[in-house]
Amino acid sequence: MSPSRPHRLSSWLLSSALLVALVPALLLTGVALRDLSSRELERATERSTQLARAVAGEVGRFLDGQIVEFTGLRIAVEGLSGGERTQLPDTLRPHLLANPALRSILLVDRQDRVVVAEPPDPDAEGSDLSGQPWLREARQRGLPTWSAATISTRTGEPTVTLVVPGQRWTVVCSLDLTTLGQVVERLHGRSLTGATMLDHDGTVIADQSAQRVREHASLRELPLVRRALLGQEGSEVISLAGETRLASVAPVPHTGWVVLVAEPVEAAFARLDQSRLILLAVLAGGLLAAGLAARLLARRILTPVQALAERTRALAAGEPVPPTPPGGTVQFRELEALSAGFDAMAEVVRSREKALRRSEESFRRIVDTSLVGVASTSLHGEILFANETMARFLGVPSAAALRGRKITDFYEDAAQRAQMVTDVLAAGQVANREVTFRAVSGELRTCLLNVARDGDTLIGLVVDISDLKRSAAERERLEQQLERAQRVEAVGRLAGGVAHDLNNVLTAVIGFGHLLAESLPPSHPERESVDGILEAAGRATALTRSLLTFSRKQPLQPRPVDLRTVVRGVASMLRRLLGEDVEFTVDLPDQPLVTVADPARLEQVLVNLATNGRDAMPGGGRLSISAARAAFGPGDAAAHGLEGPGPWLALTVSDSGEGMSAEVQRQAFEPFFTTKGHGKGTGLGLSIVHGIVHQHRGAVTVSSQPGAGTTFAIYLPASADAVAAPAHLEAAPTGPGGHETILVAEDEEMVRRVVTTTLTRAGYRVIEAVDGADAVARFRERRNEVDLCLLDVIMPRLNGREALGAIRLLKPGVRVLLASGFTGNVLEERGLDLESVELLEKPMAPAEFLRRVRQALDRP
Amino acid sequence: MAFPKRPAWLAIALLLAACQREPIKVGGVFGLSGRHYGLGLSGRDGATLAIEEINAAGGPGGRRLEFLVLDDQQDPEAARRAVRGLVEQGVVAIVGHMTSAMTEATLPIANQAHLLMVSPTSSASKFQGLDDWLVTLYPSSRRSAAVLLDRLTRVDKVGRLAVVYDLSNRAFTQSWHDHLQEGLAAAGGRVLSVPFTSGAEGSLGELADRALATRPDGVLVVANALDSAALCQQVRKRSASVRLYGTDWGFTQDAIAHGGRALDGAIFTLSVDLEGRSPAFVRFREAYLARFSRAPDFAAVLSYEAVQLLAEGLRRDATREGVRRVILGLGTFRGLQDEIRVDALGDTDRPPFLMTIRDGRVVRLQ
Ligand SMILES: Nc1ncnc2c1ncn2[C@@H]1O[C@H](COP(=O)(O)OP(=O)(O)O)[C@@H](O)[C@H]1O
Ligand SMILES: [Mg+2]
Repeated sequence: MSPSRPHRLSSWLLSSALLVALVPALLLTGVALRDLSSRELERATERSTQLARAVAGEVGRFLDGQIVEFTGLRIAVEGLSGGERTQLPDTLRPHLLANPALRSILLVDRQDRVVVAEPPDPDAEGSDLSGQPWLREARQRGLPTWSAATISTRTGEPTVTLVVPGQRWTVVCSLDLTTLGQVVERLHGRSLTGATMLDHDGTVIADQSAQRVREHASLRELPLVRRALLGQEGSEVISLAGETRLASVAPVPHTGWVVLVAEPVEAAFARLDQSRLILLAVLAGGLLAAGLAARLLARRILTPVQALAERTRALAAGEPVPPTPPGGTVQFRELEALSAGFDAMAEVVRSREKALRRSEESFRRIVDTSLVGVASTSLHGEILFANETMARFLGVPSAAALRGRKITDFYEDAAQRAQMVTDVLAAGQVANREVTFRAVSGELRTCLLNVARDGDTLIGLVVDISDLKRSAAERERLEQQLERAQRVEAVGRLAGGVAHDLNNVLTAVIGFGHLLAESLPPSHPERESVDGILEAAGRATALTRSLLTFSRKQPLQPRPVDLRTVVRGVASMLRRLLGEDVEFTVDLPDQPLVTVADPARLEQVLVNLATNGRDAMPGGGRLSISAARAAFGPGDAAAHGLEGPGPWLALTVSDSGEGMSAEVQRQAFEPFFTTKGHGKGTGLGLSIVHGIVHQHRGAVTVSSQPGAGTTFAIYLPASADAVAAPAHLEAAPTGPGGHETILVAEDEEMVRRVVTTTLTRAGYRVIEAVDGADAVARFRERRNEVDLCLLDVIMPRLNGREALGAIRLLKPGVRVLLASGFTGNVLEERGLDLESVELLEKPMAPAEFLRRVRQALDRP
Repeated sequence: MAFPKRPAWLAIALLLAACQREPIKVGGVFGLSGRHYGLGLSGRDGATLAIEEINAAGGPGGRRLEFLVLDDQQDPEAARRAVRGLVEQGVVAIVGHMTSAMTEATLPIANQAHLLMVSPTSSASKFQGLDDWLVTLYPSSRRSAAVLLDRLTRVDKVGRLAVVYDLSNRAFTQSWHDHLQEGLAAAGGRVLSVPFTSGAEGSLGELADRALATRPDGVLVVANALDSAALCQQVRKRSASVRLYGTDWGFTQDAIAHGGRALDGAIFTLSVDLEGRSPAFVRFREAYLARFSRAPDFAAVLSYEAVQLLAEGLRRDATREGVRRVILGLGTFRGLQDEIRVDALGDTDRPPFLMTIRDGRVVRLQ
């Protein structure tokens, strides 16, 4: 039940009922009031007029009394003979005593002269009164006449003069009107009512207000008074002394005076007001009763209607619909029909609703379980609906939590949304638009968006393609890495091949060089030249070794080492290398950092990186080396190009040098890439680092910015092995010799000769073989003599491995040394067991060579 | 008898009040009680008639005049109270007083409040020629005295004149006394000064005795109507031959009523011809008679004219300062009988003339 509608109906019923009651009631009241008013008015007027008349009558009687009295007096004095004149005062005096109003009596003779004044007044006696209008009037009329009222010059009181004309004497009496006022007051006694006496000018001669009398106030300006002065009675509402009063006038008989009574209208019409009040109360009561009756009626009709409305509301709100109220309240056939109709309708609505809900539920399930994010928003971006998938995309706990929020809050770039809306409004839809959402966690999600417009609503389908994107980027990076590795590999093969051949040549050069040098006495003049050749050959050897190292052709001699030991061992050398302008720091943990590695190679890595650092800081700077355990998440290790989860050790070399541009960084590891001037850089430093690190199944990364220094990080697999105590090899000043028989298989004649000469000089017996097959043949012939086989790895007919296999068949425990210009993995590739075979690297100084041979012979 | 229903007439009254522009308040101060009341009543009635006529014609500048009348009781203290009250009520100007004594008492208040007093009958010479807030309509007592003096010396040959004068209106009576004393002396005569105070004398007969004691050729009574009448009665009782003289203050219709034949032949000065035939005066006389059922005396005429003069000023400027400026700048003003000159100091010029009483009627002396 909405709060206003049923209420309106009931108030409408109420007001119409009131209206129906009001019109006749008002009419009746109006008529009654009118009737009452006019009657009440008449009554008040009547009362007031009667009062005025009564007062006038009283005054009249008073004045008549005076006239009677003084007419009597006149007759009395006229009856006196001329000789009795002296008795006149005695005749007058009793009147003065008996009559309280009487102030003075004059006897006036025919010449208008005052003859006797009582009380005696010498001024008055002898005065001429011919000028007085009242005397003239009285003589003319021959009747007792009243003068206008005046203020006595003697007493200051209002006085009036009564003239009783006679043949001989005219009696002139001064009467004090104050007593008249008392008469008036005594008569009506109602304090609210003021009675005023006016003389024939309309001047106030008696009033409650003495001041008004004293000031000769005139009421002549009142039309009522003016009419009264002409002898007309009347009543009127007038304004008197600032008050509204009901006034009535009545003439006082014989005098031309007027009595005016005035009563405040409130008092005059008090009864009317009372009656009106009663009438209005009755009216109000009637209306109230009508209202109550209407309410009762309205409730009777409204109760079933309200019940119906309540049930409708329940139906609309989806609440259980209350049952039809008991028939007792429903008393109208129409309402019963309505109620029955409602019940039928409710049934239909319920079943439809159920079907609708089922269909909606299944639809919603589809939407909610869809892997596509579904959302509808207003044009302004308010989210009206979203499914769970969408919530997941945006990192919101539930779809419900999304409702009401702004989709724009989730766009990484608001312009994307604005553009999308613009396009949708223009084209009606947008297909496969790539946008970036920022999830609540801050994670960015790249999504494909399909949006269609439905009125003011935008319906969007969202597919998250972030993973797809990410793996594409990954692949691209891996491909680049592979490409680089392949390139390095190709260059490495080439360099390795060249280095091998060169090694053989250098072996011969060095070998014969040494032979020559030894055959010459130290003082020999050519000795210096021979030493020069040997030195140059030594440098060439170093170069070929470098080439072999970066191409990973150099076999490793790995063992568990502590990185800290490696760093500390090389530190003093690096200190010298960096020079005094560079501040060099080393930061190492207390715990050992064990990895399985060839320490000499790791030293080379550090040397190469430090060298580059120095070159990047020509004006000095800071270089620091640190080593630590590196903890990677599963993805991160892969991101750094590392295989497996580790654990890993990190070796970092940072400098504060000039840094590298992205372009330089990209190419830095390539062999022969250098930015340094001709003759300064070889472009191999980082290639070698790369090669060594990869040989150790590690990875190297660089982070640098132009002007902001460079940091190289090397990651190596950590090992649980203990570090072996370093073997202290005594390097003999000259190679040790012996008397054993050694089979030397070497296809290069020059090398074979050098080796043979060296061995023979050292006391050994040598059996020469020109290739693998020859070596096997020779071994078969003299298998019991041969103590050691020295085989070149690469030989025609049978290579070193094949020859070794054949020889081991003939004599399994035979001692073998393999010699090669190639490094370890070539041997591995060729199926040789490195564990059981000593390996010689060519070229090699004769002392070193002899030491290795001795070692092989002495091995148990 | 038709009574409007109360709410109805209340509403109409309110409506009228709302429609009408604010009325102009004009004060009136007259001696309405006490022994001088005759002059005050006439002044009040004359002024009232003028106000009623002006309002009936729409009022000055369409604004009604509201006439606030107070009684000065011929008492300086009461007069000052009355004028202060009117100042407080915001009147724009005052009509009054009727006697010079009262005017003298309240003029300082009016001057201070910048409130114009238009006095119908104050005529003491001391008010003349001053730049103050008083405008008088009556000729100065000096002028009137001069006219009477001329009669005394040239026609009646009065050498000894008893001047009976009321000290309760001394501002006026004293100047009469002094003018005559001076003038008569100059003509070789003599004035016998008989001062008295109205209402304070036990018997006017004794006063008459005093006046006649030096056997004067004439008696000049400078007193109010009642006193004048009574005094003349007493003089006549004692001497049938002595000449009686008076002023227009004392010799009003009231005085004639009270004085009777005693006033016959008495000569007095007057500036208003009560028998005048000018149409304006005749119309006024009739209206006054109809309104108050008695004929107007000189005080009523002057009071009427005073209000008309004031209205003339209010018509152009209804402020206190403004109405004075306008009136003093008028030059002339149309009175009931003549053009009256108003000078820049608020003095008017109106020729006094001599009247006498014959058989109870006032007649102009040629
Ligand atoms: N620490 C470094 N700071 C700046 N540039 C470096 C650094 N290390 C290497 N580079 C850049 O990488 C190039 C290749 O280095 P490298 O392979 O060692 O060859 P080379 O040092 O002979 O130039 C260098 O020429 C230099 O441009
Ligand atoms: Mg380098």
